[in-house]
Amino acid sequence: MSGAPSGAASLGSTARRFDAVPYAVLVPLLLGACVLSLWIGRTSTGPMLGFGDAAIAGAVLTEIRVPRTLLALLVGGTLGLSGAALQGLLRNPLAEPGLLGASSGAALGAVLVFYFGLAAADSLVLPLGGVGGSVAALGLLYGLAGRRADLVTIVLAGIAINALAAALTSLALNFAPSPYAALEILFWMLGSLADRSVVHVLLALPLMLPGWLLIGAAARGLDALTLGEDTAASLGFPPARTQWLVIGGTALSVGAAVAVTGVIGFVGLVVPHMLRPWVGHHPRRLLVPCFVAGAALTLLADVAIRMMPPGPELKLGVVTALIGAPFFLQLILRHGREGGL
Amino acid sequence: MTLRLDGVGVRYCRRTAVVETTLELGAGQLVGLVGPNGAGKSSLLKAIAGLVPHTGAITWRSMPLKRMDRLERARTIAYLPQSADAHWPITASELVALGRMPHLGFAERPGPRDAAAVAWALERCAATALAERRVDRLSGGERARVLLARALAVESPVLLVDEPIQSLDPRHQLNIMRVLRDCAGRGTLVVAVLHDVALAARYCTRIVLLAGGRVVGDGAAETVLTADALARWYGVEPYVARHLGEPVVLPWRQID
Repeated sequence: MSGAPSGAASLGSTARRFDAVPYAVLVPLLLGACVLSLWIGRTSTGPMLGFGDAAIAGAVLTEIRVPRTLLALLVGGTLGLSGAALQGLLRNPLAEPGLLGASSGAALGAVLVFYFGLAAADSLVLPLGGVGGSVAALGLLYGLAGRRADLVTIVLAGIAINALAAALTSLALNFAPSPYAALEILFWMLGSLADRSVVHVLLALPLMLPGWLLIGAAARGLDALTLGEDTAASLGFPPARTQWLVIGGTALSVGAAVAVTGVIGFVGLVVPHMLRPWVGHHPRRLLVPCFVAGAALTLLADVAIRMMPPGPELKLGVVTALIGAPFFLQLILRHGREGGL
Repeated sequence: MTLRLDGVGVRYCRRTAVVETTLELGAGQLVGLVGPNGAGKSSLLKAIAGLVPHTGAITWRSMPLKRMDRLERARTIAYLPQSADAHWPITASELVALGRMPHLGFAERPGPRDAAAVAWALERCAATALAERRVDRLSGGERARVLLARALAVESPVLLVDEPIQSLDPRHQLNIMRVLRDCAGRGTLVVAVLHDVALAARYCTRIVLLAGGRVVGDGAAETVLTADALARWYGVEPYVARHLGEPVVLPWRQID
């Protein structure tokens, strides 16, 4: 063990330095974003600072701003977390929660609810349809790929499920009972946090929580996968176990998120990339910072929407896509030029 | 301190890769698993590593591997696959530290004991100077040393390596073989799949020759890697000699 003490000291300090910095930045950022989200609202005449009339201030805060802030936090965190987990699982920095078909399955489930005009009957039917869709998509993935499937098969099955869900969604739009229903479907699919209540939070949370726990249980397995599947198995973390923990966790948490907000893309792709320079490349170390950063980013994007001049409200999913798609393109260009990310 | 293989067989779909094999491998040996392509060397190694389903029983110190929990098994047997590579641009010391994973609990952070094991493994592989370098910027020889250090960092009593010297220049080949022999010298059971019979003959304390999924030779290099055996199983005529008291086995020409 000669030379061990100096080596031990330097390795230990490296690990600590990496862990503290991101939280020192991310936690204040998240808290600041929460305060802004609670402070800034939107009315038909544009942004509104504060809570307005003393008579309605309490109701504005508890019935509008708090649910919207909580939902942005939960959905953004879920997207960041599952993006980091999937990139670790697939060992590919271009992976994204939408890849497995969970998002499009959830969207299809919700669209079917609209199509059959059930959304008006009860505000709970829509999110339930979304979760049903995402669970069905996962079931199909499992059926197509099999328990011990390799990752290429899973990705290809995910593409097939995405295509199928998109086709069925188009079919529903095509035969929408009325133009109004079609418009409702389209607007919902854009993804938004507007007009959500505590009910939506309470509906999503019981599904998101076990989803997060499943992803957390896979954390060490993701680190082990850094050296490939055989090495991961020899380190005591069989890839098949890690794989289904991450996929199950993503289906539950992202499915629940899409079910209450519609499709909000690219957060899961962008957030891990933003954090890697500070947090390092270990998939496990990225998970919690990506949750925090995903929540902060989504909150800030939603606040920015509320700051827009009067007019129809810009949808959150449109904003994240407008920011995320060029980011994605730039990633691919850099990948082609340098052969690495 | 022995690893016992009792009627171990490996089948892929309908093809039999390894026919029921019984072997007893002891601590402190550097076992060279040699044989022509398709002989079942890698399959046998993967069966021991628990990566492919197999028939028969494998026990370490009379304890069946199947009865160990996953981390206990991972602490007992380290495995270095044929073409391992890091998928993320981490540093060499971070890569080697992955070898400590079987020793850590769910939320446990690496302690001084783990850091010491990492530093020690890097030193054994002459890779201490590479510790802070990014693995995607290492040369092939440097990366091979770092990957071997990852397997050593497990500090397991059994080390399985699959073709550790493939695509390395002669100097690095000799370097890796010496590290493996040192490990065996300190009491580790090292089992290495090797294609290079010359290096196998020179460094291994024991040669297990496989052909067609069966053990067809087992013992010291001079008794197993004979001219007859190489002609019969590899189809080559070797140059066999001794140099400075060590065996030289050099495949010389193909037998038509």
